[in-house]
Amino acid sequence: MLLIDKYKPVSTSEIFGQDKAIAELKKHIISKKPVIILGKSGTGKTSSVYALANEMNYEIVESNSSNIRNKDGIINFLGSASLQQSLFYNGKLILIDEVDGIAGNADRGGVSAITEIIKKSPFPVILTCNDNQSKNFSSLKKLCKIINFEPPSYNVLFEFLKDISTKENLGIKEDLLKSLAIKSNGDARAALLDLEFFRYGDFSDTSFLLRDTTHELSNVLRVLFKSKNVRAISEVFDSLQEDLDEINLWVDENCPKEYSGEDLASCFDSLSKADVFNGRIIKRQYYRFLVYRRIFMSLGVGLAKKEKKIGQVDYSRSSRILKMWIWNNKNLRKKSISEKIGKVIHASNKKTFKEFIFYKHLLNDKSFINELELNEDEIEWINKN
Amino acid sequence: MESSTWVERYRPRNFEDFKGQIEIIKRIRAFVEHKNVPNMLFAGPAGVGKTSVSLIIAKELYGENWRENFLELNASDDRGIDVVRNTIKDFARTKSIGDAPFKIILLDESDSLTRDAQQALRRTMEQYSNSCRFILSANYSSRILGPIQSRCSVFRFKPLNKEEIREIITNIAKHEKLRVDEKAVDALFELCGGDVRRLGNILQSCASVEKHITSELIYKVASYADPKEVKDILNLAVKGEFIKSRDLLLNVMLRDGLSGIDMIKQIQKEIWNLQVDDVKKLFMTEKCGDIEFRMVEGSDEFLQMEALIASFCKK
Repeated sequence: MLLIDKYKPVSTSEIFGQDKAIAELKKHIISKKPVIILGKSGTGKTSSVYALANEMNYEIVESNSSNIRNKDGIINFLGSASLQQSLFYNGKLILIDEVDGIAGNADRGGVSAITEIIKKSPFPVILTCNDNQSKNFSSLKKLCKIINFEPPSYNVLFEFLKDISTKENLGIKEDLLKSLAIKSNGDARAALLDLEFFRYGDFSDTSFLLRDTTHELSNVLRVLFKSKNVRAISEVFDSLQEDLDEINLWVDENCPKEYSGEDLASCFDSLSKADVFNGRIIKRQYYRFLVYRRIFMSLGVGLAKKEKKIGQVDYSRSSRILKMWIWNNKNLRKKSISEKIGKVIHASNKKTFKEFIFYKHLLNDKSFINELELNEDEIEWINKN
Repeated sequence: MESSTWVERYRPRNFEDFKGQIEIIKRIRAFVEHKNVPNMLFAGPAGVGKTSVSLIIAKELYGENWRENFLELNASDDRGIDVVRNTIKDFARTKSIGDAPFKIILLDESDSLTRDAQQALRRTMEQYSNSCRFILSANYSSRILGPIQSRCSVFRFKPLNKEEIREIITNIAKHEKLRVDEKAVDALFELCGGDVRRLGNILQSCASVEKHITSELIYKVASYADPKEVKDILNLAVKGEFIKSRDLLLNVMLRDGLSGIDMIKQIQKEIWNLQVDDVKKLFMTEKCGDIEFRMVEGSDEFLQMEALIASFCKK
């Protein structure tokens, strides 16, 4: 049994970080108001509906992207079900999952059929949706109450993974759990899937999950840093399926181990140029610049050396993201105080954070603390610093 | 209640108290007297009165209960399209409270709004022009989309001149019982330019040390805000210790919340205090300029900073 199945929430108490949204959802089910749940994948939208139905003893009739969802498809599937009373349950729920997945052409008439069902069904109708920019969302949202499912923070995900790792006796180091939590980007399902890799592995080597791409990436880096053959460099670089931003982080982390002095400067000069093209791509959405970004990242880096360095080097993952996360946590209180100072003096949090030193001496002053309405945690932080 | 911060305590409460920006104040007073304020864009550097003028407008128009009809948002903290779609729209579309003809939204540092957010703002400004007026403030008006500029009266705020700065210092000194040396006034003007917020902060920090304000004290206190490690970062780089230099750099940037541009400013100043020959200093300065330019165009500030210190490592 996969971890995602084993830890699939059965009751709403097992879904973390969504208490408010779930309470609201429940209220609307009881009052039979149509609802659209909006949130990224893995935030617990569908699970919450099932858990609630389970707790309230409701039957669920579900349609998701795997069904054909043109007009006839929806009416056939949901139409009759949406009118008949349930025999064995307290009530019935119509769940239309992933409404942004209803395709324009293939599912012609699907959205208007859903509109009909929302209007006519005597049972509560619940829609879920990932993308608030989708056309279907904007046409359906007018009929429904919108409930937002925010992705949980890294901290919450980390605790969740730690909990499961302990229950399963996986013995995974905290650092790795942290980076899994960061990598998942708020998606609990993805985090749990990643954890799956560690269940049957040997944990003396903690880079198990990442070994595959690490291995591949290491080979590419080796060619990049050791070869001066233009063809070899381009071929190897093009064969790599990784995202360019990820490769960029790897080259950035490891080039100082291979290059020094003028070579290192020239290597970073190429990376810097590649980054300028990337910035232009982002700002102007002009994707032809990708060609130049790739060339500077591959050949620019490869041809930066006069001589290759002899000897094997172990390449490592960039520590930058982890450091950002750590500092972010360390600065949590300072940030929240800066925010309150910003409110009082009409300046941005960023500015007050940077100029914190000018306000720090005032924080010994009771009246300033009252003016800012600091809470206990923040006052404790001040006393410690 | 009087604020503990001098920046707030001495913020002008009405048009009479306002220092500087004489022409702008004249125009805006006329708008306010006719109770008809257009959408406005206030462009100009930090601390020259953009926010203060906005607050005065709200107080003059709405009196005691100005907060009910006035929403202040800082775009550098919430810069995405959601703010425009949710917070701003919700405030704009409801009726103003009392007999106020319209509400006002102050969008501070609006040049940091994303392009998408600005696009969304453009429609909102039009749709709700009956019930709500916008004041956008920005350091660089060039970063505000043309269509938005065309929907605003644009006012260019100038840094305060030395006489205006002196008046402000004299006023604070009188109320706070400070003795401020003439040289200290020069020092404050040199360090703050025409930025009154910075002026208030530095002066208050000085006064917490001593009531007699000298230029030495001012230089000392002003340097508190600069990270002490810049010198070490540069020395490590010049010695060829790239990895140590970049680790320190990343830690300082993350610890103090500094952007790449903040950091490059500090480095560019510190270069001239290093123990290297002058030709190299000039070369390093040129590199700062190059990298600052690339940073504005590029996407990864930290990588650009690394490129800078790598260029210093080279013999």
